[in-house]
Amino acid sequence: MKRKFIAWMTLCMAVVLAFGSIVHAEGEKKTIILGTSADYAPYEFHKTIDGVDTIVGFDIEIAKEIAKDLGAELIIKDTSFDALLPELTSGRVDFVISGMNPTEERRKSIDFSDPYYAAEQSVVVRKGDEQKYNTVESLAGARIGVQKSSIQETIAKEIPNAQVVSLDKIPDLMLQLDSERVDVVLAEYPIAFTNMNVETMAITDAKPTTENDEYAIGVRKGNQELLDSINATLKRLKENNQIQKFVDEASDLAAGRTKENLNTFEFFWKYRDYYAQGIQFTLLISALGVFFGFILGLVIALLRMSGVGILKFLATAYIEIMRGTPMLVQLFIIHYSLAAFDIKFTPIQSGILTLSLNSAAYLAEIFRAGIQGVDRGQLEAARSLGMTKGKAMRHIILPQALKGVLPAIGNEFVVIIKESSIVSFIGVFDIMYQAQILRGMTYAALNPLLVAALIYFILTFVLSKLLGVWERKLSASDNR
Amino acid sequence: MQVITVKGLHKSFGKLEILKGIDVEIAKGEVVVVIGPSGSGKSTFLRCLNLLEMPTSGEISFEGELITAKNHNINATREKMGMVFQQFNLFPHKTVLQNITLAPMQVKGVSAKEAEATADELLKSVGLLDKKKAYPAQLSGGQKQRIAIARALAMQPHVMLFDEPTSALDPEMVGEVLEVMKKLAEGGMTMVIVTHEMGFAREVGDRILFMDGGKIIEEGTPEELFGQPSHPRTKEFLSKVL
Repeated sequence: MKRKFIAWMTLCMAVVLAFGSIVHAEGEKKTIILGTSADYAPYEFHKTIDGVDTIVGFDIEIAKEIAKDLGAELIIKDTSFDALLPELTSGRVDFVISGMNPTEERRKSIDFSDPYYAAEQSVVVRKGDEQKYNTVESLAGARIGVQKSSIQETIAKEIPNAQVVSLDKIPDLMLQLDSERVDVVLAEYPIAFTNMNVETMAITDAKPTTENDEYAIGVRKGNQELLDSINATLKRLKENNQIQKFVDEASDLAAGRTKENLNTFEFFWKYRDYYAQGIQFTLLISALGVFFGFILGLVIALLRMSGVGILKFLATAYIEIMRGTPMLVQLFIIHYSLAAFDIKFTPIQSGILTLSLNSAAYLAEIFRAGIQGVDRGQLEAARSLGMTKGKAMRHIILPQALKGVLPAIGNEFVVIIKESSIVSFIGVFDIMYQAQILRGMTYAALNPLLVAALIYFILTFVLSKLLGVWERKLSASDNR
Repeated sequence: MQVITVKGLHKSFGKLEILKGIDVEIAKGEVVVVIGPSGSGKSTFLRCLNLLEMPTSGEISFEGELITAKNHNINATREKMGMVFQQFNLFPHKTVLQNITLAPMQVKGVSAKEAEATADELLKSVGLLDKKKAYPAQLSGGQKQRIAIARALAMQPHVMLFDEPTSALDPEMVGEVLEVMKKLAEGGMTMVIVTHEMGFAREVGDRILFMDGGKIIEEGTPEELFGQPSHPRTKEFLSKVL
């Protein structure tokens, strides 16, 4: 019984498969097979995209355009570089794009299209040195990093007085540049752009020239029809400056710097976890900053109003200094300068401390206004009953003063939420910090910051609206 | 026996001299009413008695103690001198009951229960027991002032100071406050009252002080002062207000 079942199943599957292949054959599209050696980023390389290993690169993008113009489906065949010519001549692939130079030797066995890309040589420097090394001449005497036995090494050795540092791998050269062991790195543009850290490095205007640095597409000898089509496609792409775009995108992709086309809401949704964490930190340090600022501010306000000369002076000086210096400077002094005296706070501690000390100065003035706003008769009545100054303050003056300034304290909280964004400078994972992370990760120019701004706005707007409601309730209780 | 003795009292605010030498003695159980034109220094004089204003010079003694002495603890004295203000100065964030019990509990350490019992008595005597749980904002001016009197009395003072207690009231509410004060006077309380209510002064006062220009110009029994004022300024003032 079981065996019969399996037999039936096999038959059914065979029928389905056969039928499927017939259908496929009937609807079959014209195909064109690309031969490439996908180990040369950013020209062609493997990349896991959405969990699927995919061959990508700007050569591949050009191939797609060619297939599109032919109305054919592109099939990619990945082989070793050395096998590309035999594959092409044997007809197993229709064309070859693989960062290939159209050398005279190769022209003997295959035909080449017009060159589609002439790789410029690029000079990579640390940011800030762009002007210093903006011509080839200016490289004289510099320490130049190049890849071993590359064409760039030849160029570098012709530069007068240059100290040439030759290494095997491009990423190592970039590290040398970062750690200031070389002044510049010479590399072909796509390679340079793929490997450099765009945050700390830049490509200068200097363009060392070489011969024989063009790339072209190979087809079987005599396949004029395909060659014409390819040349037409290349012409179109060059006119639109499309190839350079492909190069940059592929470089980004190779460096893991993907550019996404998300609108602001899609962006927020995709990276909501980052922002959620940011909101937590922002609210935490703001709330604690206002809380401790409240206590300290009250003490300072009372000192200022104590009538004792030296205390009054100290409190006034504190308020003036904290209000008269940038919070960023205060933050850096607390976080970095104090560390020099072995007072080391974590970023969160420094952030809360700075916000507390700073808001204390503002809150002290709010309290002072509140206390002065309480009718003088209240203090007199309390004192006339035999209460000490302290008891009168605690039971009579402060409760009324606080009620009067609660809205102002709420506003200070709103201000602190916004101002707290500076703690991102010292590495607190607040909203602003998350936005910076996302900027580095996604290279999106607008969205990370726009979402951050929206979140700050929503937080402060909702909070001030709630405060408004609360304020109206407070004043309503004063009515008869 | 003299409860309050004032000798050579001067008070200046900056260059402005408000009190120009006051000498007065107030006996136990005596009701002294201070009258005079605005700016004559009546209120300042009263406020100097419990040192809400610190005298510029002169001496004030209370029950034989020199309260203007440097090391004197004024809080202890103020417990025994109740004060009622023109603007009531009730604590708006506290209920009527809390207004009355706060000082006894905080200053004298009276238990909450005892303080409330005293408050109930006082509220009954000023006729406002039903307002016990109300907030000052819910009371009329007359009611507020009666509560203020009760609040001062809750400390069981030996002397009561009244600073124009009816001046901020609507006319129809003046009577209820004066009624309470009259009862208090009849009960033997020593009182110093600054007021413009001449009828009340005449009826309740044991002695009237007429102040003008920072000095006591004339003093005497109500009959003497209102009947045959001797000083021209007293006459002029009385002719305007009576």
